[in-house]
Amino acid sequence: MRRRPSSGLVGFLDRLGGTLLEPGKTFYDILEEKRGILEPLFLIIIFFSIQGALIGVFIVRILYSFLAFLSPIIGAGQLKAFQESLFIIPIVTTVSWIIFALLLWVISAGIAHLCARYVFKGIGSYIQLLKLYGYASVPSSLVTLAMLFVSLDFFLFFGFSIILCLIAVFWTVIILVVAVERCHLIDPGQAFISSFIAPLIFYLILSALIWLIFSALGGLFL
Amino acid sequence: MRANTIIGGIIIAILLASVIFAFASPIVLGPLIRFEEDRNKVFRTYSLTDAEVSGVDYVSLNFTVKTGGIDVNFTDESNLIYRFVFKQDQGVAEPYIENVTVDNKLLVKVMAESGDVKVTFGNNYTYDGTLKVGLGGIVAKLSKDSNVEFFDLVTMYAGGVSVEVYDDTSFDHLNIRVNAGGIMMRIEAENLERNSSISARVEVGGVMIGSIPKGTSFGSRLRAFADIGGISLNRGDLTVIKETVNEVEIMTDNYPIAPTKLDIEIFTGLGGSLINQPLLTFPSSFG
Repeated sequence: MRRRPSSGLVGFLDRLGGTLLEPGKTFYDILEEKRGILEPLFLIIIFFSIQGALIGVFIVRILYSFLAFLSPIIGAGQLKAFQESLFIIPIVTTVSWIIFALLLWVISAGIAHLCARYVFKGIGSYIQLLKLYGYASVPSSLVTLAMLFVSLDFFLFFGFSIILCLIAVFWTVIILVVAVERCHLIDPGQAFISSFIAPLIFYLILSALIWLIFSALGGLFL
Repeated sequence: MRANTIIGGIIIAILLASVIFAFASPIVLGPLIRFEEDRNKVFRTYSLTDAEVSGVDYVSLNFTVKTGGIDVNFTDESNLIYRFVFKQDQGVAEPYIENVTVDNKLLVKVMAESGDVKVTFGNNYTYDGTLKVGLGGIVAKLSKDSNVEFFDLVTMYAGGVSVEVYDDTSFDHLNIRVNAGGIMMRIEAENLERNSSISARVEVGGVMIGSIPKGTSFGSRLRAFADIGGISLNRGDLTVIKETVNEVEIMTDNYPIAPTKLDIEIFTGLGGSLINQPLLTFPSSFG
């Protein structure tokens, strides 16, 4: 059953929580309300920019640990300059992470759409699926939480954070399956193949090609 | 309020907390891995003077610190053979030090598991030998008080070596080797006491050398080669004999006729070299 659409901040929070707890119903509402692409785009940028920043800060704090050893080698003045320049790292990781996430979003949705549409004769459009795939980034908030814990105390929370990340991965896969199923109106098995198996095969082939290219390039220098 | 809205609120709270954490954690929490402060360190001093060992004028070193740093200095204390000041963690075994006299030669063997050591030599003895760290750094400052036949300055695994050469230094050869890391050379001398040479080799990493020294009766020549990587040369007023992407040979204009010469050879395996580039600040000392 379709619920009354919420507006403003409450509606936004409702969609975030709904994506996690009731993805089928929430995606149905999102498609019915014909929501734009901006909100999912915003979610991807926010989630992954924060993750990128946390990774950058994590790296900086690791490097900080070893600065004392560098002092005798490069001197206090250069050490200070080096220390200040470290703050470029979170910026770089944030930008890189956003670009990586956007590419992953567009490509994964594209592969899932092609598979669902042309292999399983689905009826949805690419833009619709792209929107729902944007909402599927919500479980990555668990990864963000895991990063927070690991940053607070690496050794204490490492195991717990791994569990959180695994939950996030499984949850994301489930939400992606529901997204394809709702968008293209195909059965869950076909949606699973479209949203998980097909992109997985694509990324494995892509990784193998990249590896081969780099191996060939490496061979030129040896 | 519906469960979905509450979960949505929690997600936003996680994101806000993460943003605050990202900005505050480097300042509030500091380094991720904390190393012991100085107050938890143990200082151990070992010294030898001519009052304890007589008839010696030559000191041969075999000095190894597995992890840490070695800071080498020379002083005008003419009766001093050596002074080693170790700064180590509590619980770390004391360094092993062995002195053996053979004729006029004192063989000094030092072995330490970890820590920083400030090494000071006197100006009345000739020194040679190997100073080696497994993981860490070596700083060697050669001044008018130094009289070195040769030094092997070695970083076996990873780290760096910094060498400073000042006026009227006396040395034959410095052999600097770093497996992974860097070498920095600052040669401020306008005169050396005798013909000298330096060879520097880094397998993975880089070499930086400041200005190429020159004096009224002192000239320098440098050859550098990078196997995989490149060399950045600031030509300045140097005579360039050869310059390619990975090979450079230069000399000061007075090198062929200078009575005192310094020859420098640099090799980098994977990495690069910066030659005749300004180096802003240089090491002071450990601790």
